[in-house]
Order: sequence, then structure tokens, then C-alpha cells
Amino acid sequence: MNENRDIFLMSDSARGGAVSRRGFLKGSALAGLSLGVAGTGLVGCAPKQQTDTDLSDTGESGASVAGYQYEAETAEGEWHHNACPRNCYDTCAICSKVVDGRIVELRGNKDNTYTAGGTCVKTQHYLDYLYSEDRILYPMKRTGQKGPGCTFERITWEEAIDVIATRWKEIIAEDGPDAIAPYTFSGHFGFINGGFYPACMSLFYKMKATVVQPTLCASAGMASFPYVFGGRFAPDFEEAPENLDLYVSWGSNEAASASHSVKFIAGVHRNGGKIIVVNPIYTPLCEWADMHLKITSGTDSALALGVSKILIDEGLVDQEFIDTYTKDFEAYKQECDKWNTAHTAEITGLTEQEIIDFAHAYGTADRSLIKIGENMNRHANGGMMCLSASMLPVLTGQLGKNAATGWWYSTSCWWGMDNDKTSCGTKFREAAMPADGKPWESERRTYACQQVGELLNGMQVDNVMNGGMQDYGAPLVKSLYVFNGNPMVSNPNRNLVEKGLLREDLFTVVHDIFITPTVEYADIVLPAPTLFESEDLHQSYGSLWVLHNEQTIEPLGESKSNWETACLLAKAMGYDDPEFDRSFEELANELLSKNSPQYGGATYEDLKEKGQIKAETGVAWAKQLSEGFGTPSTKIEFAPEGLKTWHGVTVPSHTPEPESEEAAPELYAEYPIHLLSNNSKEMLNGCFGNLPDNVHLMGTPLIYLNTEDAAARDIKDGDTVLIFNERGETTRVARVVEGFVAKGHAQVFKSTWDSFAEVENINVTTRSDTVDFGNGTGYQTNLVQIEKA
Amino acid sequence: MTQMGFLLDQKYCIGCQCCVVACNTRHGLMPTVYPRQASSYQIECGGPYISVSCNHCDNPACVDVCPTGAVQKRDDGIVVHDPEVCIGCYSCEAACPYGAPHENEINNRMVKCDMCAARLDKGEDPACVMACPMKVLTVGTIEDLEAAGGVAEGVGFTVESTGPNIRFIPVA
Repeated sequence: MNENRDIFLMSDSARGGAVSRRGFLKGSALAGLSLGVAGTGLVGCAPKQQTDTDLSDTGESGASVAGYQYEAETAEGEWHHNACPRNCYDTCAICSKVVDGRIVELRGNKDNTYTAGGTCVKTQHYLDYLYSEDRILYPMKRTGQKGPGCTFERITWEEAIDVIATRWKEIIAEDGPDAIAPYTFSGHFGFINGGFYPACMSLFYKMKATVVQPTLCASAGMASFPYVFGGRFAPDFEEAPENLDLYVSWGSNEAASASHSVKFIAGVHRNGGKIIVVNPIYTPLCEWADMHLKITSGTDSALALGVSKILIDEGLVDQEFIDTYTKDFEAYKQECDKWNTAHTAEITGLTEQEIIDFAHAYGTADRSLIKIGENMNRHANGGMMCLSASMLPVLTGQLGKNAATGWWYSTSCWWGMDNDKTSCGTKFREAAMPADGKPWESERRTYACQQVGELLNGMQVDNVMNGGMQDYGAPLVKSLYVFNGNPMVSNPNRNLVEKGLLREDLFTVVHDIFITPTVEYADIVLPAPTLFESEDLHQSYGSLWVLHNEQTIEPLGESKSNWETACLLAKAMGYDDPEFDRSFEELANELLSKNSPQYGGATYEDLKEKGQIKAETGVAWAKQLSEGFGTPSTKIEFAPEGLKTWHGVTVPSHTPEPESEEAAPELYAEYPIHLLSNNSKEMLNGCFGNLPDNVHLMGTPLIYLNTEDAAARDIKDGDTVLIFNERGETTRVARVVEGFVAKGHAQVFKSTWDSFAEVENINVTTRSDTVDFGNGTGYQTNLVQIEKA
Repeated sequence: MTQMGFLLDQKYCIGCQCCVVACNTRHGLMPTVYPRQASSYQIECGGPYISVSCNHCDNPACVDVCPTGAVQKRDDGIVVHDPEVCIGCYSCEAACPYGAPHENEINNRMVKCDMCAARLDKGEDPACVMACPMKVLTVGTIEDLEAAGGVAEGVGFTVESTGPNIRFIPVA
């Protein structure tokens, strides 16, 4: 067997994933072979084409030399534009070709300069996803037990709506409306059907149900930055290659979470720029990075302070920028003085030389950008860690230097759509959407969605940002309505979630595309459409593109969109408000009613016609530099009042993680490994864990171990290991590779579905406490012990 | 005579395997049947990564052994396969030093990369090229690929006597 054949065989054997549950009859329309003529009549998304080859050309054998002529490519059809609705930085622009009411081919849209004709490895086979035999196509009701082993039977939509509305009316009469709670997150990220405040929320606001906060993802960072900056702004990442001398990837694996952005990072490197990675784990960027700082998880604020001290002490700061645009620099400087390099090294697990080298590289770069990863925000002190990292470009005056410099977290800062109007927040909840970082002003009982376990189990949660103690026992939630979400996969502390979902007195409705691990606990299951069957508007949070997703085909089976379903339920509940008669067009116009320059002032008609528009944002921070920042002083405030009021600290500073050697030595003695549950490239949040190629390419679920940690436990590459803490336990196969993982850390991929991965999702070990800012989720603050199984 | 080939900038390939699934989808294959194969950064845990399919060799072993003439080399050097003439005998798979032809379980014939000749003939990109998020996988004539800095040797790739037409931008 030669080396080349091994390239092929490697992937088959190393992945080793059995694909027995696929239930997929792969693209039957695509599989048909015919010698048709080249397609014509392509519109909109059509790639340029020319027909200059004689396809009847044959060789001596009579065989065609025209290459595979797939009906999907040769048939005449119409092209439509779509947008990937997953919660992902990239929001790929997709073109779909329809022949006789069926989508036969998908291609990335090359006119989108960010995704540039691509979709990712997760979504290349969206066509199979769309036409999968495993789709839920009809409403169903439970006939057996809750959980694995569940059984359902088909019912009509009329019966489903009647059963739900009847039960809800009983609950409202007996226990009050807050005994009903929606659960939603980001399974669909269109602004009408999904996102964090979809139009469907109007149903639950009207009902006065317990309010859900969308807090699984990036809310800690989003809530912390505004204290200091009075807002947050993001560069145009497409400008990075021409405009950066240094790119710092801090707490991010762009190759998994924003794969279309990596070509721009490569562009920086190709043009001679430096790349620095700050991450306990090797990421693909480390292949070319000049430095990889394998920092101890949760100590990023300490690193930022230590680096700040070096920058200040060695005069590598832009004093003019600091004097002109900031306030209370002395207070920050005093905090930095606590962080000499030796102390910083001790806390961060880095060497003094690494810290000095990083500070020098950063302090001497003319044009730099720090990417602040959402993985960093998913720590108990994640909001502060993000904020700390954002101090460096203030010291060096990188904000607004050009279209790509400074720091960036998410381009959602540019989102200008009016969700409050579509979700009826002000109208029905009697409280507007919360401003970034500030407490929720709502009389209603509220839960952060990572605490659905606490909610369903009637626990008490002290939550200052939600106005104090929230008693989830009075009343106990009797009905949970899940849409755009898969808490049995996405939520932390999963054993607690499952305990709640197993309650026999809980009436659970789940609206989804597939039988997810959450659907297994439903009393009523409703069929949801894929992106191709329902219209929506999208904004990327990695790029500046605004996209329209066409309803391309009729919904399969009896699937109905989230919005249509919410309207049916509202009518059945007796709500006759005109808000529940709004068409998609009306909702789209409401979303765009701010006429925001952030989406180029585009109208619904513009978006429908063009499919996508790149927002004109101008250089990030330029406006603030000339007109003042959104803080009380109009300066960048190192010591903002809100930090002290709500978080008890004066300036961005380091707080030891509740699960760390520093803060909890006894816990650490028992559970000495920081377990990071990170994105794989094949799965995303609750999605894709059932798709055969995704499961196969991910292969046997692994735990990546540090070589010393593995040796100390007599664990070798390929051994099965037990992972456990007080919240739960599971197993993985060990991957032990020199230099891949910082000592004292391990990495496991999130998002797996138990029955496909054949092990428990890693969320059986993660914590559901709200974190320091924005009620965010601290998945990464997770000490475990690992043993050879 | 021109000779078409693939070019992989191996330094900047991130091992995402997008090309693998794009190819599978374009050919309408069962899940996990991959005429294009690529290393995964998650499994390899370090590069350089590689993406390889049929190499459209100068002297394709598959063409020589095919008993029905289903595999042929075009004037532009692309090695194409006609499933209507193929009998699924695996001769090509056995002869290929790269193991490039695969069984298509749907029609019990072989399937291999044909550089998406039908798309190239219309002025469009092959599926793998279009899907590559790094834009490090391209196609062109060997003269052009070599002019762009492509060399025959790649990390993890052996140049067999069949004369493979894949070029690599060197990592170093």
C-alpha cells in the first residue's frame, strides 16, 4: 500500500464512524444521468456560462467524453437566492435552481465577496437536508414515554393547535400565564422567523408568559463593551489583507466558526503581516502563526493587563490617542501596575518571554486587529475577559485607524432591523428591548435560556440583571414551547434540563425540522420548514452583508413557518390583535422601517430584487472619534460608573474563575482539567448532529489531551477515557498529539446528538450559571477529571 | 495539446474538507462516498493538509485497463468516465496508484473526478474549486499552474509514474 492510497484510506479508517442511521436516499433527482443539453434560462444567481463544447463528442468505444452530464445541471430551471439561516458569522449567500417545483442544485453565490461562492463543509449537502427522509412533515402527538424510546402518531394541524390552545388556557386559568414559557434560541437566524427576538415572540409577550432571554452565545461580550466604549463597532473584515500588519486571533477558531473569514487572515499573512494566536488549543491558524500563546483558560484578563503594563512601561502606547479620546487612564494604569510580567506568567501559564514577545509584537505593529472570540465570552468572567482584550487597541490608538484595525467581536453591532416592532416588545411586553449591558426592565418573570433546567425544576435563581431573585417554583412552568432550539444538545447542565423535560406534568411542544434529541421529550411535535420553504431577512455577524432569503419552493409535507404557527396559536387563544395578521411582507417592511444606513437604506423591494446588499458602514469608530463616544463623558472610559454599579469593579480587571486553581483549590484538586467544549467544523449548536456526512467526517468523538496530562494518567492516543465532574459524566476516545493542547486542558467538540455520536453530549458536564455580563453562558468554565476507562 | 490539472496552495489549506462534500454532492453520491479526499485538521491535528482527487494523469492507468472504454482521456487532458458504458468492474480502481475511482452504490458503477468537465466546458468552476473557502484549490493548464509557482511535489503526495497533473504551491 503506497502513501498515496493512504491519503484516501486514512480518512475512512481514522474517522471510523458507522453511518447506519442515515435514512437518506441520496439526491435521487441528482443521481439520474442523462445526456441533455446545457441549461439555459438562468436568472439572478446564475453563474456565467457559455456553451462551446460539442457534447455529442465520443471516443472510440462509443463512450462520451463530455464528462458527467447531470440532469440537475443540464435541465432548464430558475435560479433563486437564499441565505444560510444558521447562527454563524458567515451567513453564506446561496443560489438554488428549481426545476418543476423541486430544487435540484445549490451553489454558493459568487457575488457575495465575503462568502465568495462557498458554503461550508456543514452545508454543502443542504439539498439532502431539505429532502431528507427523516424530516418531520406532519404534526404528531406523543403516544408513549418521554425521552429516548418515544413514539408519536400523526395528527392534523387543527387537532395540534386545538390541543395546545386548550391546554394553555387551562394552565393560564389554574396557574397564570407565567406557567407557560417559550424556549428559543438561534436554530433559524432570520429576523422574521428567528434571530433572538423573532416575530413569534409577540404571541408569548401577548400571553404574558415567562420571558426568555437569548443568552447562550455572545451576550457576555456584547454586554461588557458598551460600558467602556458606549457601543461597539466592527471593521470590514474583507479589508483586512490590505490594511493589517498584525492579526491577533484571541479565543477563537475561525476555521470552524467562520471558515470564510480565514482567507482574509491568510491574505494578511501573504502580504507579510504577522499572525498571533491566543488559545489553549491549536487552531489551523497556528500553521502559519508567528506565535501561539497557549494561555490557561479563564486568565485572559490577566494577560491583557500584563501586556498593557509592558506597553505603558516601555512607551509603546499612543499617548496622544489616550489623552484625546479616553478618560480615567490613570485608574487603568494603576490596575496594570499590579501585573508585572512574572505575576502575569504565573497566572496565565505562559512564560515571561512569551508575554514580552506578544507585547512587543503588538506594541510595534502599525496597523493591527484583535479578533475577540466568542469562546472567550463563554466563561464565568467572559464579559470582562472580552473587555480586557479590547483595551489593547485603545492603548495603541488602533481604533478607526483604517477600515480593518482595532478590535472586533461581531458585526451584529451594525444590525439595524427593528425587532422590537416585529416581536411587539414595547407593545405587548410593555418594555423595550434591553440596551446593551443594562438590566432588563420588565415586570415579568424572566429566565436566561441556559437556565431552562432551573426553570423546569422550579429552582430559585438570584439574578441581579433580571431584577433580583427569580422564583421558578411559583408558579412552576407547566408548558414549554420550543422553537428554533434544541436544548438537549445546546444547553449546558444537560442532566438538569433532561430531568425537567421528563416531568410528566409538563406539556411540551417542539417545532422543528428533524426528530432532535429535544423532540423526543415533546407531547406535541410540529413540522418546521427549511430555509428553502420560508421567506426571511438576514444580516451576517461576520461580514457586512444583508441578505434576502426567498421562499424557493412550497413547504414540504405540512410544515409551517414559526410565524404562521404563532399566528394560528394566537387566533386559537382568542387574540384578535391585527399584529397576528401580518404578512411576511409587512414584517419585512417593519424590520427595515428604520431606513438604516447600516443596511444601506435598502428597501424590501431592493433586497428581494438583488438578494443581497453590502452595508455601507464607513470606517468603524470614525464617527465616534470625530463626534464622541456613546458614554456619559463621550470618551472611552477606563473606569465607567456602570462597571462599579453593576459589577463591583473599577476598571477592566482580572477575577479568578469560580472553577480554577486560583479561586477553588479544593475543587481543582479533585477536577484538575479545564475542559473546553468547542465548535467542530461539522456541527453547529443544535444543528447537523444527525446528518450522515457530518457525523462521518467528524468521526469517533474525541477528547484532545495534553501529552503530559495523558501520560500522568497512562492514557495513550486511541484509548477510551472517562470524563466527569459533579454535573455528569461521559466518555470519549483520546487524541494525544504533542503541542496541540495546553497543559491542564482538554478539548471536546460540542453539538453532537447522542444517538448518532453514540456518547453523551459534552453538556452533561457544563455549567448553566449566568456569567458576569449579559446573563451569558459559561460553557468553558468547566473543571473535570479524566481517567482511563 | 493542453493538459488541465489541479493546483493546491498547501500552505494555506486549512483541512476543512469542504471540497470533499462539495464533490460528493455534485455527483449525487451516497453519504461518505468521496471521489475527492482531503485531510481533516481535526483528525490530523497539524498540517500541511492535502486535498486530492483524480490527478488526470499523463498516462492514466485507469484508461489502459478499462475493458469497455468507459474511461477516456480528453484532448484537454481531463480523464473522464462514462457511467453508461461502465460495468462497475473495479479494474480502474485497482489500477489507479491513487485509488481515485470509487464505487457509486446508487448505480453500481464507478465514479471519479472528471474535473467537473461539463461545468468547465460552460465556463464554470468545478464544485470543489467553487466551494473552497480559502480559494487555495484551483484548476488550469499545467503551464499556467507552473507559471503560478506550482511544483509537482507536495507534502504527503508521491509522484507516481503515471504522471499526475496536480501541482502544489510549496509550504516553505
